[in-house]
Amino acid sequence: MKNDILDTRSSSLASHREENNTKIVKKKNRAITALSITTGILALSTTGLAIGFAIADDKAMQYHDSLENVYQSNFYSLIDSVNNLENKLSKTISASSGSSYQRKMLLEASQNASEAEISIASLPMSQNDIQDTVKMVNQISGYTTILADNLANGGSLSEDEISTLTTVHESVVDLQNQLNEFARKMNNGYSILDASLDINADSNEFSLSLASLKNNDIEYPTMIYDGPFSDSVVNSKVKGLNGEKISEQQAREKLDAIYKDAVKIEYQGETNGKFSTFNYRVTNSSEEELYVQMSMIEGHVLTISGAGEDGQSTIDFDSAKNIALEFAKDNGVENGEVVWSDTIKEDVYFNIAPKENGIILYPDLVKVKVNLVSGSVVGYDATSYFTNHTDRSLSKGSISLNEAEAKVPSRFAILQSRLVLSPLDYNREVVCVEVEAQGEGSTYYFYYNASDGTLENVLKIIQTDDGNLLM
Amino acid sequence: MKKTLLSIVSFIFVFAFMFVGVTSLVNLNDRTLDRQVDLSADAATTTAENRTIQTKLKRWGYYTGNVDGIYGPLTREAVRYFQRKNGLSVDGIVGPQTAAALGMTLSSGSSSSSSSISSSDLNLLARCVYAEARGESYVGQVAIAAVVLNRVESPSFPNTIAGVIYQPYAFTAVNDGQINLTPNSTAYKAAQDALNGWDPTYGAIYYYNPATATSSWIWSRQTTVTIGNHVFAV
Repeated sequence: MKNDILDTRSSSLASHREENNTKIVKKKNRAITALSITTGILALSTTGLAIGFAIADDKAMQYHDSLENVYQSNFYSLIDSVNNLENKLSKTISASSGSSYQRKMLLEASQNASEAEISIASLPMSQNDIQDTVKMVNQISGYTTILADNLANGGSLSEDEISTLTTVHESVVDLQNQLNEFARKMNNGYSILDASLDINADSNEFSLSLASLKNNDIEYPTMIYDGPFSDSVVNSKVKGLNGEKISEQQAREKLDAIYKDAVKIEYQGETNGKFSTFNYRVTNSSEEELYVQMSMIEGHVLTISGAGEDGQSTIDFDSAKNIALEFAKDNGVENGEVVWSDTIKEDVYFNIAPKENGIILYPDLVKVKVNLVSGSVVGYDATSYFTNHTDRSLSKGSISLNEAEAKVPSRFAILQSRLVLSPLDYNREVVCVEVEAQGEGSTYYFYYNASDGTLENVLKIIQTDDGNLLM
Repeated sequence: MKKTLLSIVSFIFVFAFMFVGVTSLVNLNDRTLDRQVDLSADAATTTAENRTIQTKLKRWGYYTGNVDGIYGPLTREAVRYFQRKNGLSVDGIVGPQTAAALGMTLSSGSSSSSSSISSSDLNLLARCVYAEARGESYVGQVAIAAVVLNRVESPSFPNTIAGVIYQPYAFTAVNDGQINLTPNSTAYKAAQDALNGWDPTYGAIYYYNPATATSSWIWSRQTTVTIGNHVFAV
């Protein structure tokens, strides 16, 4: 019996052990399972990520390569343009003065210079590194155009001009050398894109490599001329403001007089650019917010900027026109006449020019923007007026309106003509007969010099989605 | 044992699916979620349009889901977010206004049959204004447009509006793609004013936000005026 009991005990012990063993085996199995799952996951995720990155990287490389190609193409175009520019300039200097060949070379040089500008500006360089070079090629383009124009009018190049051209040529040779040096570097697998992404303070590696030429080797020539991009045009003087400087308080008093029923007027500080002004934020009686700039000299309203309301018009075009004329008159533009208007949604832009001696003075234009919803002046720009307005003693010239109309090609129907002072080219004003004519599907304005009848300019009205353009 | 094996296999399958998701850089969960509720979504836009919406929102950081052309809750939420941020009425539906703000035309919209030329300069300028200064006052927006036009006139910059706006590194909003947002009517008005000759800066060719400007060089320029957050300089 004892044995029996023992047997039973031992067998129960054995089964217990077996149970334990099974548990251990199960645990082991689970551990192995867990381990294999983890390994599986890791393996899969690594593969997945690797594939993912490979796909992303491949795409990035494609973008990288196409952008790099665009940059390389711009760079080599730049070299071509500069090489051509150098070539044309040296030929201009060598050719005998006044020849049509010289004029042809100057025009081509101008073309090459402007191509060079487009290429430089398309390269990934920081503005502060390239602006001197951009300015140089732009001015070369302007200068050579003006010289070519003079030759076309029967002139010849003066000694000074030849000497300036020689300096310009030397600078271009320096630029050319630098660029060609750089091109050799690019043959050895240089990446413009990579270099441009290597940012170094305000610049990047690429602009620094190229810009080093600005500091070291190129002496930028001074080109004195009246024409495109010339310093004289950029720094043109204000002719129309010669009186006393006023205080902010005086400006405020003048403003208060103009906006008697304004809801609020707040001083916003000064502007010190081509004009100096005291600036105010005015909330007018229609609750429109306007930014009004009063000139420090003489205290005129110089600029008003306001958005104008959207909605249902409450006034018509003619009332708006009267409001504009009245406003211009109140602000010193006597004898104003609307010479151009354009309605864009609920805003009408009126260009008003004063009339002197029966001649419309285009250079002295003021622009008034009237909102048709509120019926108030929401925009005003008298900068042209004060830049150009001065006492002129204008003569009407010898060409009559009829004589000028007769010069318009016969396929045009004449609408009207009048005497105008027309701003031409740069800093040049000429009394012209303006003939408005219709033909070839559009309206044209022809400008004939009132003293000798030469055609000075043609403008065409171009209809766009957002109003009319004069070009 | 069989159960364990089954669970291993199913686990591997699930994870395999997830990593297939990873490889195509999309999120499986979002995808499933989007698809489930798609049936209840307003079918205001076509699949192709939904793709465009998703792509644009994703690019500007409004949408984190995948571009699958399905207008689900994630897309809807992103649209709501975009509408909130851009001052549109927040309804989560891409109607004509939101579509315009996204820079797209819905298929149902009629195209204008005007014979005039498109004012691409005005459009481009308005986009630049909107991208760079939509939070500024009206005059602050005119000033930005004026700077672009002053640069066109300046010898030191390119000579066309496109040349100036797309000059590398010239405008941050061009670099990060915000230039492709559709401008609102204020930006258009500001651009129009500048094209008509308005320039409240009187000749500025630079502007910067003194709070965020990283360039040390810009501080050396002579300031003409400060309008809102921007300092304008020559």
